Amino acid sequence: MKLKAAITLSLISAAVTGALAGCNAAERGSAGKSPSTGNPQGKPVSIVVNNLGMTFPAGLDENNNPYLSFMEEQTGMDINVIMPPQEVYEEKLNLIMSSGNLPDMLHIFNPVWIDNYVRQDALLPLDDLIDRLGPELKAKIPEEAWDRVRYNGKIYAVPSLNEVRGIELMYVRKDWLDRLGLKAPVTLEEYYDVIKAFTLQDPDGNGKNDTVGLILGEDLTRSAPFFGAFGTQLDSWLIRDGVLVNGSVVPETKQALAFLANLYKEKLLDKEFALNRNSSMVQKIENGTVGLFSATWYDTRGPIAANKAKFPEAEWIALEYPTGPQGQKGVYDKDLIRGYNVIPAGAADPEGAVRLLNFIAGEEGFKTLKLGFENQIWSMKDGKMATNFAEHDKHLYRGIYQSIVDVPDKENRNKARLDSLGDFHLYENLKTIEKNLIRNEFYGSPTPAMSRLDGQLPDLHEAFTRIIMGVEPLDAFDRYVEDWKRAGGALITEEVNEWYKNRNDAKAGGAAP
Amino acid sequence: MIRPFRWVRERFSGHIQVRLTAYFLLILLPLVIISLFAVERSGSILYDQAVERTELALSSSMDYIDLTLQNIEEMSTLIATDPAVVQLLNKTGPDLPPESIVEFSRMLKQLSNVNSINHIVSQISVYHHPSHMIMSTSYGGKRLTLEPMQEWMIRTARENGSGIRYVLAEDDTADVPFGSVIQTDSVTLVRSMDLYNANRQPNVLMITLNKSRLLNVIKSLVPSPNANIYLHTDGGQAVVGTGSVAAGAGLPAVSNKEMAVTIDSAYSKWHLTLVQPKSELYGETDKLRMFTYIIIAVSIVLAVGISWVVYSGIASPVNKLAYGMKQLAGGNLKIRLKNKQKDEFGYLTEAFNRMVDYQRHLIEDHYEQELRLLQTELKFLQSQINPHFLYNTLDSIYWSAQNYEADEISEMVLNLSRFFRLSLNKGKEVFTLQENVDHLHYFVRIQQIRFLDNFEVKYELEEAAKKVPVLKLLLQPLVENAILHGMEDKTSGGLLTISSWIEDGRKLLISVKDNGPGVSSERLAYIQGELAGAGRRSHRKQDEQEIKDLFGLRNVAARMRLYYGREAELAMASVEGEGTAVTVSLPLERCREDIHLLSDEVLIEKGEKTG
Repeated sequence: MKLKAAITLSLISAAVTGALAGCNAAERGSAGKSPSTGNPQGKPVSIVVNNLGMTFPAGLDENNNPYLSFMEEQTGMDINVIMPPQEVYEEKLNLIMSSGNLPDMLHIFNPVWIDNYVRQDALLPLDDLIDRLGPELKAKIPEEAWDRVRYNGKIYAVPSLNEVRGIELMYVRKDWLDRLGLKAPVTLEEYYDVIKAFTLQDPDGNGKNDTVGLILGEDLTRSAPFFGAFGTQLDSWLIRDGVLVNGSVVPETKQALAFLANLYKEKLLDKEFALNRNSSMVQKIENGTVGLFSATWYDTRGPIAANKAKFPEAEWIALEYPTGPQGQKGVYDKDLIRGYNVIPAGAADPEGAVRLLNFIAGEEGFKTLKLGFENQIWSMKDGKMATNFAEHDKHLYRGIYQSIVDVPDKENRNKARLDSLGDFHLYENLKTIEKNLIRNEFYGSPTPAMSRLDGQLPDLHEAFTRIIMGVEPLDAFDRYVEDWKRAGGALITEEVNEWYKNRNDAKAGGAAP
Repeated sequence: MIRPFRWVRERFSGHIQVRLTAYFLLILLPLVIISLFAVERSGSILYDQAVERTELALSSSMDYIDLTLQNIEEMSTLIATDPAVVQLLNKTGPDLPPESIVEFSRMLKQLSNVNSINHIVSQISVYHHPSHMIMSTSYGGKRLTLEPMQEWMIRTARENGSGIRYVLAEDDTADVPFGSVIQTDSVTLVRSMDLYNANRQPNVLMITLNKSRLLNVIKSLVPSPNANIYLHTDGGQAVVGTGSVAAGAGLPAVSNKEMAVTIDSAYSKWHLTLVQPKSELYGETDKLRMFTYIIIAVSIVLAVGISWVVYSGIASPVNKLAYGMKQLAGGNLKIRLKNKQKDEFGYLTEAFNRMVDYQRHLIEDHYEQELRLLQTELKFLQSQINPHFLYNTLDSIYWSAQNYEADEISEMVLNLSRFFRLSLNKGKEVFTLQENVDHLHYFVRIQQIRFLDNFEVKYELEEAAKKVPVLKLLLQPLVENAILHGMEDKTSGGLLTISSWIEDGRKLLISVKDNGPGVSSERLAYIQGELAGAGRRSHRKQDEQEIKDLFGLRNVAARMRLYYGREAELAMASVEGEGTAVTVSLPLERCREDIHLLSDEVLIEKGEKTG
């Protein structure tokens, strides 16, 4: 009897302890991280990347999300992502490089940084690895880009390319052209005619003088194609006679200012354009005040679409860039390369890093990371791609991985993606822009003088605005240029040219200490 | 009401288990109360602490907001009194020449710089009355074409004086929400420009706060996703909030299930309110409470279990005993309780078993004795049929003998007749010793005549003994034996002595003595042995088969034992050639008129029933 009681007691207590232990086990279970897939080498490939200012949806992070899992699954590697804060990114990279614990790959935006470490022999030459393990990289990254990462004839970085090479192109309301019997303008003169007609001939046919021929923004935004017509771009470094010069101060700029000042004088330009910040300018486009402007390639989704919604008869078409008297045209570009991937000398698994880069640039990686998972973010409907915008925005973070090695899209998948966003001619716009780029030849990080004198140089944009608005005569341009040079512009030009020379030397193989 | 109470009381008083369980639970009660109290108390302490902590956090955030507002108000004063700006606004007329536009553009840039310094400001806008131009750092210049709105601006500038006013985006200013005018959804500080000039133009400065930054300032205070924080103006309009409450709406409704802590600012008079579900606060104590409940439940289960275990340790043997008793009462004398226990209950059970055994033997004995008695009674009854016939016959014989003057015959018949008369005397069992001896004498007389007076009889009775009641016919078999065995061979000189005396005042002794040939010593030993066994146990078999001799002695011994108990003794002494003496020793205390069988009446009844 007593024995029985003892057994009963111990059973009850065992049950209670068991229940409590069960609770603990459950807690531990939920807190624990799911085990990651192992890689053949046993050690994860560690990569340092920038978060690009993106955030992860709740519950996910850089080392725990479906896209990383996808990459690990496809490559059979265990990937450890290190993501330093954006604000101190480069400092953190330096810290990592000086630490004993080197990652297998780092993503860096500043080519000067690479110059630096190549000189210190701290980076691994990649030609052999790319030949063996990077067929996709080799095939997809253009020689032009490779050329920029060659030192002493050896490749030290895998460049990631900018998806978008330029921003602006001209858009016009075709229904207005048609109403006024005008053809799409090509030359600067034809543009002038259209601008004049759009101002004075009541293109919207409402009987009121309520339209302007051309709209610009504060600080001369949306004016680039007109400078392009004279072969220059503001704030861009152009090659003139083998040296770099600032596009803002070349004589061609004065010619462009003269053209715009004339427009303003004839009241063909928006009178208050100096007060046009983006939203008030967008509002004017929406409200049908303007029929011609230099649009961004994605404005077709924004103000143009809004205008079309308001005025169903509105029909917008892209124009050719205005061609100047010397047959010049074009707009500023964005740098070909958006970032570089380097492998530190002494990395544990350089082959893994290259294989990972190759995968991201390759067919499967590019498609999935660029477009997102099929049937989650996009799906094919009647042969056309349809995008689920909510999911698309939620999983934008996949761009962090995709941008590690962004490559030109051979199969126009980007076109499919952009087209899937709607009938906005986004891809066509980009293609048009790409054909008309005026290259900025300085793509290094700001030179010392640039940083030091930031905000102290005369505001040429404001000065140019005054010239265009007729507050000051055109000849004031020369004075401002002189001011600019004196205030440090000359020094900056000197430094930029020094960089240019160094770059050329480095690429030629004569990296001077 | 009374019935369940009575039921409970009955259960309580009627069942040891119920009582035991109740006591165990009673022991638990203080612990349960203490633990529940502790849980409750810790909950309320937690709540108080949470409120305190929240107040602290809220007030520090409120201080920060106050500081920010103060900062912005100072900034607004700076802008509103900036000579360059004031002068520019004042000198510019309704027509905006390019110069003015360029100036405005420059002013806008200045404002942008100011704006960029202060991260909590989302935009700074200036309304230039003459040209109806609103210049905002966020969207640039825009003409205010709505006339009611223009009037609102003028009114605001006039009414405000040099004061400050906060306007929400939702505030209905002039048929349109204020927010739509300057394209914002946040709260905006509104004041007139050119503060120090009493004759100022109705130009208005508007500084809009960054709603998301404002929200971020207070959002960090939100302890959980389910908690919400709200910032209200002094008028009780919501500026920002994490909850679903519409901006501009009043203070949030707080249900019972939520903790709401509000801090009022001393400077701006704004209110910061944190609403948190109480269930979150009590998360920890809820866990504690759950554990407490589990432990209480386990304790109760244990209490019931242990009381059951203890009870079954006590009650099951008791129940077994009770069952045994019931069985016994039902007449089942064969009941035997299984017992493995070695404790007190084991002893009790064992004792019960032994008692039942004993009882059974006792009852069997009684039953048998009763049966025997009935047998003898039956024999007597049989012989009772004859007496009347016998009397008549004997009477006839007596009279015939008288007729033929055969005196001996007549005497024999007379004595025989008298002997019978007494023997069969109406069932009376006890006579005094004297009467017994008198009666015996009839028998002796017959035998004397029969044996031609070859022996004499002598009675030596103490006076005291004569009165003692003795079972009738007790001595007759002894006397018969003495005559048959002792006097048979004598031709003369036989002497039969019947004596009685009281020994030690406790015993009545009756001796029947003869001077016959006596008994051989082996025979004597056998007889003594048989006598010793006779009273102890008697079996029917023995009665019928084995008892072929000593019938008289056995009869006397059995009857003595039946009526006088074990203290009664029948002793035989004999010397070969000298004679034999048989002595009956009866306990005086049992020699009573109302003598009966030595048994409990109840058991006799039972015996009759089972018989």
